[in-house]
Amino acid sequence: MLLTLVDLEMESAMQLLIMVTALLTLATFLLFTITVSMRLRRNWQHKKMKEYRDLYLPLIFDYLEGNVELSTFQNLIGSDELKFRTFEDTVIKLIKNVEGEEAKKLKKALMLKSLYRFHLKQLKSDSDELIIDGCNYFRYTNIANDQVIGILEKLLHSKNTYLAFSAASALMASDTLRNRMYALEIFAKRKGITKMALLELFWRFKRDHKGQNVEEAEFLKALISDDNLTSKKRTLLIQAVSESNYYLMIKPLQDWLESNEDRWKEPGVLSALIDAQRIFLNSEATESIKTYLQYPDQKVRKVAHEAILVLDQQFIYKKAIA
Amino acid sequence: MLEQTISHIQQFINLVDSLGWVFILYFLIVNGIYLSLVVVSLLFIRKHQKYYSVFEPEGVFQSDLYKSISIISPAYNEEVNIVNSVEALLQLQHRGFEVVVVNDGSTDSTLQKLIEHFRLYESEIELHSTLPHENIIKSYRSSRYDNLIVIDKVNGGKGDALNCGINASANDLFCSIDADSILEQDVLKQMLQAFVLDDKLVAAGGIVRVANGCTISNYEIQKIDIPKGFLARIQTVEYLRSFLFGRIGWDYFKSLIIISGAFGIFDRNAVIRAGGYARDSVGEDMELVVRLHRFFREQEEEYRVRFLPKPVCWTEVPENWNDLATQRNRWQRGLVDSIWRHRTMFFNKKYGRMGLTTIPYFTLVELLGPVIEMVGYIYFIFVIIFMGIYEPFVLLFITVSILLGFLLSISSLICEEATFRRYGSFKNILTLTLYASLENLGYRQIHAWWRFVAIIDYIRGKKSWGKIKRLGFDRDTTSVMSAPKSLSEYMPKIKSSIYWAIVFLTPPAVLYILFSFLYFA
Repeated sequence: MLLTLVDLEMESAMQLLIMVTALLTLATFLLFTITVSMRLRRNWQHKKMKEYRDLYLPLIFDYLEGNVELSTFQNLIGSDELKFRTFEDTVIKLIKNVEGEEAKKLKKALMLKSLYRFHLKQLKSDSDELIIDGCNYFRYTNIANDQVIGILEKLLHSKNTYLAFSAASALMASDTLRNRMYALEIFAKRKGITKMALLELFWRFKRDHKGQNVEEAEFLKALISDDNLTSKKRTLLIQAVSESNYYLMIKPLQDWLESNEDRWKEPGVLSALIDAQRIFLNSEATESIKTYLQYPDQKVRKVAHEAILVLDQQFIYKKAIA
Repeated sequence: MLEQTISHIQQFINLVDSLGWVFILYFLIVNGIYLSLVVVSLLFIRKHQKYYSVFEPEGVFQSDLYKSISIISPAYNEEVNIVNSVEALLQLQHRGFEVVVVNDGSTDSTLQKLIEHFRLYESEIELHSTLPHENIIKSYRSSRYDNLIVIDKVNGGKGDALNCGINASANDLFCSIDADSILEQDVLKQMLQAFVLDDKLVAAGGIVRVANGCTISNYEIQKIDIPKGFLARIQTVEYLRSFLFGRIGWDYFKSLIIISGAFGIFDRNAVIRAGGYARDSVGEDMELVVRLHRFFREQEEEYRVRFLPKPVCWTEVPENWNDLATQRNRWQRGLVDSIWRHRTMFFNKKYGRMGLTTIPYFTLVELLGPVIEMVGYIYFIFVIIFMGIYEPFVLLFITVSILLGFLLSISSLICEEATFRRYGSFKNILTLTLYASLENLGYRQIHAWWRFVAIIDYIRGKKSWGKIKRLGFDRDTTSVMSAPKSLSEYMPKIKSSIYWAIVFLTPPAVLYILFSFLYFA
């Protein structure tokens, strides 16, 4: 009796194991097939993309020289996603390596109807990843369309920091100063962003717009002195302004150094302000800096000493020339 | 159908006695965790890749305001690779980094090669922190590269050398790298993205891939290929599995406790606050990460440790059984050591998910796994011989476990295909698939044995690193093949042949027994 029972149980156990074995074999085979098909598909795509790239690249150079019209690309690309993705990648790679008129022409080329519509649709989608993809495209165009700007400005308030950063980066591509200022202001005041992300955005704010104007300086002045900005961010913006030789800010930087308001007395902010005078060789601030040589905070004292050393030399040099 | 399955399961449970049930349960839990990690990784890796493409930082790397970085490369008897390795580091595309090579009392010509190749001259260096380490004999700077510092110190182990490097560096971040590894050119930029995104990040690790089959010239990887040797190929699959779903999965659960010693970036200040590297541990890399977790949780400070699958460090892996056994023995001892030092975290809710899930997982699965596996094999042999359980049942059970292993390895290949596709050709994918299956036949069991021995070695107090023969990145394979060999050099070949004989004879034997049972019983 017992022997029969054990035999029966063994048979069931064997059947169960055979089922599991079959299932695992099937799953493994399925995964293998997926791997192989992914590779085959990828190989096919690579081959096609290479073909398209070889076709587009000489035409793009001809376009830059004025021998080919934009409509030629529209006709070639149509609405085939692989084609316009290849075109987009090729143009973006070129944009990263050129400046001036050529960059402008390439940005214009990116605004092909099919490409533009495709990415605008992405911006309106519900998927954060697709929206980010859309933002990445607009980052390389001169956004002039109010609809796109409106969407991007809304995205600046997204809970997803990645998304907000992508939208801000896209807005930084705009030639309109208002759009760039708005993006920097909203992002700078956002909670939970890193100093380095803010630094990156500041760099993008300045990158393609090397000239300085009063409106920009007024905006930066208002932003840096804004009550909603944390000391760390204020320090970073002062450092970034100094590092990028923002000469229109020399006066406000000196005024803040000489101000008695608490927000400018935080050691990090104060150090950045003193260091800014050294970077700009602002000898007019020497006397103010000297008052900080005995300051309680060691870092402030150190920066003040360094600044005085440089500014005194500057003074001696000026005197010698005079 | 469902009732039948339930009935089968019920009868199956009744069949095995209490001890057998423990093994089956353990098997199911462990493989359940592995499969969950696979699923999480497959879903997470694409999202991860997409988000990381968003930032592409350009500005921060052109600014002096960005966190500065030192690369610390400890070297002990690395004469074969040292020049290539340091040259490769100096060619990295990044602004304003420094390289600190710490010669940890090498007994070969490591230092001499460095002095000659980099035209080193003696120069005093300032130490910026006070982590403990053995005495510095001399320090050097290079007349060829301003950003190279070489420190020659009394031997004290890898952790000791790294502490010395940290003290000599004044930068915000440091990257620890093994002297037998090569970083890709833009790797620092990719790694530092993580620090741009997260102010709370204290440590980040990149993926380590096998360099043995790659063509290396001008100090960088020119052509990526899979290795020619059996063991190196097996390790290629192993590394993919370990990094692409193991670490990605743990990263997803914010519970990563291993950053490979071959390649990791750390916040210097955080490491100094946590006490630097343990000088007497053979698993100093894992120990440091566990300690960082412990330290910041005790301080109740926010922190993050991340794994990034894109930045690649290429490393030379052992190509013979003895060297591999030595390496794996050391890794397992390092794991035991790290867990033992921080045993207070085990199931301690004060340490959050680290204490309640991660440390218990690593203790019960990674640390005790080899012991349970070995006892399990002995148990099954015992019950076959003495308790009369049919061999086909045991064989089927082993087949299931092998298939599960195969499934996990194949999944890591899918992760690779879905994301980075570094092993170019179609043929390579097929070869790796083959090795993903071979890995589970014999190699896995031998590996479990090495790890089992390591636990015994740890208990007996073994602290040595063991010697691994480096072949170097510039090796001439033809001359190595044709060189006359002594009898002892044939031993690995003999072991390898035995292994292959087992591998090729086992499946037909399993099939024969199964068919005998199913159709002729």
